[in-house]
Amino acid sequence: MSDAELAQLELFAQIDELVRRLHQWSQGESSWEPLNQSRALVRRLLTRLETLRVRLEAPLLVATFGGTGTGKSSLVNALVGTECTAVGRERPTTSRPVLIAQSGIELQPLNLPLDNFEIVRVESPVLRDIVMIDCPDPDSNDATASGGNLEILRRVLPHCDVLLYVSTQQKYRSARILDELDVAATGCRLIFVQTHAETDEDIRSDWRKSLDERYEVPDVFFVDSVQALSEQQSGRRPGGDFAKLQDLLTTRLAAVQRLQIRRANLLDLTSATLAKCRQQLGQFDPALAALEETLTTHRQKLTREMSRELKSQLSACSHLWEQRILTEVTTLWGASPFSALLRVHSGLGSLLASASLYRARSGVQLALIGAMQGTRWLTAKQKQRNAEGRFEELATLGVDENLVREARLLIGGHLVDTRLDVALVEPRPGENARLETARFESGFLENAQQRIDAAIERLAKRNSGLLARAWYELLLITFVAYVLFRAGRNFFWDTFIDSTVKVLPIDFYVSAGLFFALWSVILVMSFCRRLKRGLISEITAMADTMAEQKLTGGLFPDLDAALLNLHSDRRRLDEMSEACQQLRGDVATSSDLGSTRQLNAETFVATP
Amino acid sequence: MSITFSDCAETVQELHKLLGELEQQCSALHVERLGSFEWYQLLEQKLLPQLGDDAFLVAAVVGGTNIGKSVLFNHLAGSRASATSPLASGTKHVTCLVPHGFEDAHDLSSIFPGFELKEWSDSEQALDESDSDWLFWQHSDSLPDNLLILDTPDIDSDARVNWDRADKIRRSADVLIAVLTQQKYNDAAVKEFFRRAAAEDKFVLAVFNQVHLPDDEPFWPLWMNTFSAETGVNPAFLYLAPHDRQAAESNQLEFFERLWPIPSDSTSPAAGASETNAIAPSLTQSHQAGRRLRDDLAMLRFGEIKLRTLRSALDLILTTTGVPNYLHRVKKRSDEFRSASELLSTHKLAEIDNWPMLRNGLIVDNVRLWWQSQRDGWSAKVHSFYNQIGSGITRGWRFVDEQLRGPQTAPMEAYRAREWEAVLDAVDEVYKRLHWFKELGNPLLQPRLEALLGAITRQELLDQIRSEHEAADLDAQLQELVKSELNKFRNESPEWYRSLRQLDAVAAAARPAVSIALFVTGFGPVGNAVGHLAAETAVTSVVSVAGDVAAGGVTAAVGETWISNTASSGAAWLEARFRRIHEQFIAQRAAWLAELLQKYLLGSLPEELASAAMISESPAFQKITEVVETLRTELTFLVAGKASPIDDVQIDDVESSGKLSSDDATTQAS
Repeated sequence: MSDAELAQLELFAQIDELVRRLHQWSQGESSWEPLNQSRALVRRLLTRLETLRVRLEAPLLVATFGGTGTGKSSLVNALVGTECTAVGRERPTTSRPVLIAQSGIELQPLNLPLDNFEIVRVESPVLRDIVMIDCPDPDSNDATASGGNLEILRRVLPHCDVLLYVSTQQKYRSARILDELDVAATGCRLIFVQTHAETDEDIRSDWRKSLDERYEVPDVFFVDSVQALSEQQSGRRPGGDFAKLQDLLTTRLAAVQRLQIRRANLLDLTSATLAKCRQQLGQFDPALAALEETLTTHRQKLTREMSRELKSQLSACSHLWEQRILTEVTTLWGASPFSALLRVHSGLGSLLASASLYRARSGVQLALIGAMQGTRWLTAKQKQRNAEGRFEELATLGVDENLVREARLLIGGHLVDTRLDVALVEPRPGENARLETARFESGFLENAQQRIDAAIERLAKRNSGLLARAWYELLLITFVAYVLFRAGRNFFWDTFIDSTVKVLPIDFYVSAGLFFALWSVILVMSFCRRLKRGLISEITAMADTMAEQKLTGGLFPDLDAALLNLHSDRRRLDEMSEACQQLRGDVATSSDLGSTRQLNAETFVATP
Repeated sequence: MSITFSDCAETVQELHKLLGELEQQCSALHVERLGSFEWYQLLEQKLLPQLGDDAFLVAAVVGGTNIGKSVLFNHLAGSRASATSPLASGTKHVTCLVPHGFEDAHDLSSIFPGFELKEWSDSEQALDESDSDWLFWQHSDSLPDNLLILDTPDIDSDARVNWDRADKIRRSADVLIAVLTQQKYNDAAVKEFFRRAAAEDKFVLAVFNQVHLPDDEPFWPLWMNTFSAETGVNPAFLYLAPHDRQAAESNQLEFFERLWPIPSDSTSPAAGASETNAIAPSLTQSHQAGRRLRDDLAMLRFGEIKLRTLRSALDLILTTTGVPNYLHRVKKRSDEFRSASELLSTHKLAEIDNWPMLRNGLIVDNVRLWWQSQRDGWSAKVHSFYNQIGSGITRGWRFVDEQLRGPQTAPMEAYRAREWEAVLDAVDEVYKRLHWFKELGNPLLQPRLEALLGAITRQELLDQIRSEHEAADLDAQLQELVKSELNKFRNESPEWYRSLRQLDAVAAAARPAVSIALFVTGFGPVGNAVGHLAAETAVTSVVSVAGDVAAGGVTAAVGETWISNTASSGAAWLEARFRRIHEQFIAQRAAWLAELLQKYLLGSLPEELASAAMISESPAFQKITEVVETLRTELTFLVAGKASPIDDVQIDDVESSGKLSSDDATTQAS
């Protein structure tokens, strides 16, 4: 197997892969109506591709296309070399498509509605590898009339692989024919022929100019069919453009080219469909972008609102902070006089705090108390709370329920704009707006708990360094030492030396105890102050980062999920479209055959 | 009674004016623009400029692209007036041959409305690719005094602007010189054009161009038959022009006349298509020498043709597909709007049922305020003295309360917040209803409703309501309401009022006594406050709005239940009055929202619908119906009085210039 053949095979495999992906993509069901429409279009494409695939190896179908009286039938006769389809001066001459094939060729695999055709069997070198169809004209009937030539033509054209576009000096700018060609040309290779060379002037350059915008025009043939036919009948070989045209039909449409031509047609069709889908969906892009922007702004607004509230609540319950930081510090320090003192203090505090847990009114307070209490105790408490109705407790974080409702109202408008289902923002069944808010909040608070713990640890570490500890220990011990020194000196020394000096009375110890208590309180208080240093800035920083952070769960999880799906579908579509373009470039047939530049997905209206 | 064209002209002008008015009125109805109707264009382009005593004939060369229209036109002009080109759709603009002195008597631009007139200077002008519709005119010496001949762009190429230009000229024209070829006589676009011409009953001369003589001689009757049957055009004259490029280019092309329809005594050409002699009748009668089309044109009976085309144009306007059809459409649309409008009005969109209650304390405050304003003399002084003390103490109370429970929002602000909740509820409800309307699928309302349901309108609406809601001075509104209600009470039941005042005076007298008693028993300043409370209660429990002694703080302390308890024990009548203030306030606020919704959400929609629904009863509509009737009678008289003045003039004209009538021409030819 040669390299070229291998490359060819690989290319075909890629095309098959693309078709498979298309199939997969078209199967999904979305809540978004425009996407469903696009999928329906792709499914229609797939049925057409299927008919193409079935006859991939069958002879190419070459159909004439052109206005009435342009000499389509004459050209066919001339090409074949015998009079096999009726020519005439009365218009329209051909109103039933004539299929011309060599006798050996089986027509069944072509998958054509053969009942609609007149079938002629002729032996001709031109027909070795192709089947020709002489089609009726597209321009003698109104576009809307039923049963006319146009309708017949539209039924036949989607089956064809190559269009032989025949025109004349009079008709090459005919609007109706150009419109019809615009639809028919997608998925077909094109050959351009100007007939009536015997009487008309050569307008090929002007024709080419007018075609150039929409079509790839490699060559335009200028032929005199009548002369060519008579020449052949009299045994001579026709020359000039006609010979070139015959040559093109026999060599470029030969059996070996079939696969490539059909694949190119397939890719054209696919590309047209995908472009149409993208355009259909693309018109909703601004609306979708607006929706997502609104979602983001509302989420940010809510988060900001919550962190603002969080900040105020966190800074309001300073005693809880103090407790937690103290506990943290005592665990850090282990046993020492001052830490024993702190433990006593925090023990008292916990007593208060445990009472306050019962009174905890907000999730923040719970979060703050959190780690200080035994986890088991806390979970029990939380369970009890859940039973009571979690949302009530959580809603006290102050997220204004109205904010959520405003968001829903606005986003509802966006949903109407984007044709998305309005039910996506409705509360889930059995859930009311408050609970929804609560769900949002609990996600937020879960995060808060961790951050608070981290902040406490940080504050505790920062304000309880070795120096600070030594200093406070020293201050405490100094007092105790001084009292002991006083008592010891009095008892062991002064009373011995000087008998007038009495042993210190109990009053001394009482007042020393009192002063000790006072001293302890002062020390603990100043230490607590120290601990709380930087607390406000810590809280502010925490609230700010929480406002910035992106929450994973939005207010409307259903909508978020729908949007996610939608984007992934769009992305897949874009990828397929890109792949299709790439393949189209790779498969581009030789420049002898024309094709359309502006793909038109309307072709499927006439899908057989 | 004989009616001239100029009589008709007035009626037609009135009709045109009225139609313009009607169209303006029904801009909301989404009826097709008048300009999109064929009959209306006929009215503007044919009847308005040409209905007059002064008849002239407009003859236009028409046909598909690249079939030799300009060649034929040049033949008519006798010179290369219009450029010819082997390329298709070359002619983009109209060229017009005008007899000498014609433009002095007529305004060419009003004869061809919609065209920009330019004097002809060069035959290539008509090939210019320009978006504006140009008409190049030049004098022709050889034309009869009142014949205009025009060359038109094609009617079937991909340059659709050409079609429009040709259509405009077709409407203006009286005589169409139809150029056909064997490739184009059966083209849908061509046939469509001539079908319209047939409907307008134009006088048609058909020219089959590029005929291969004598090969095609047996075929042209077949072609002509098909063309005639498909389009309804029955040409008065038929010519064949041979396929002779050189002759065409040097303006030497010959035109051979053929009889049409083929006289019945001859053998059918279709039957003997292959035999050349079968078409003998037409061959023998036609001179093999070509004819000068211009001479044939000049021989036409101008007056008759003019009468015929104008009449058929009028006919087209008056038949069921013309003005009556338009009126019918307008009426139908208008009826649809009526049902839409009824739908909107029967289901009140901005209906609000849940509105928050005002806290009793707020109303009580205002009642107390009012009551204070009613006191005079010594009792006012006593009460105000005690109130001063009372409020001084309650201020302290409130301070303590705030320290304990955190800052409390003002009751009115709390109410405002609850009201916003209700607003959101109401807006939500309105949108639900609008959605439901949209689902109902009235096609007229659909686009409007979709816009209303969109995000932008929602954002705007919410912003509007929010700003108005925040700006509303609720206190002042309540105060105003309480004042007016209580004044009403004072005026309606003066005995009640009087007895209350007496009680109040008694209370004022009792106050110092209570203070002294309390002071003596050792309560001191605190006792004073309590005494103040007690004395106040004595009065207000009777009024049943007592609860709040000095301010909201105390209300909170005493509680609302206490008030309702005292209220139930008090006079039910006063209680009802109090409730009424409640309800009225709520109703007032709800009405405020309903009005806002109406204003910002629905906007002018209901009015627009209502006015659109009334169009079929508007004077313009009625008047048009009348004018159509007048025109109809006038038209019948035009038919009856066939010898209308212009006709005579025209025939005189033609005969005096020594030309033959068409009938004579054909008899002579045979």
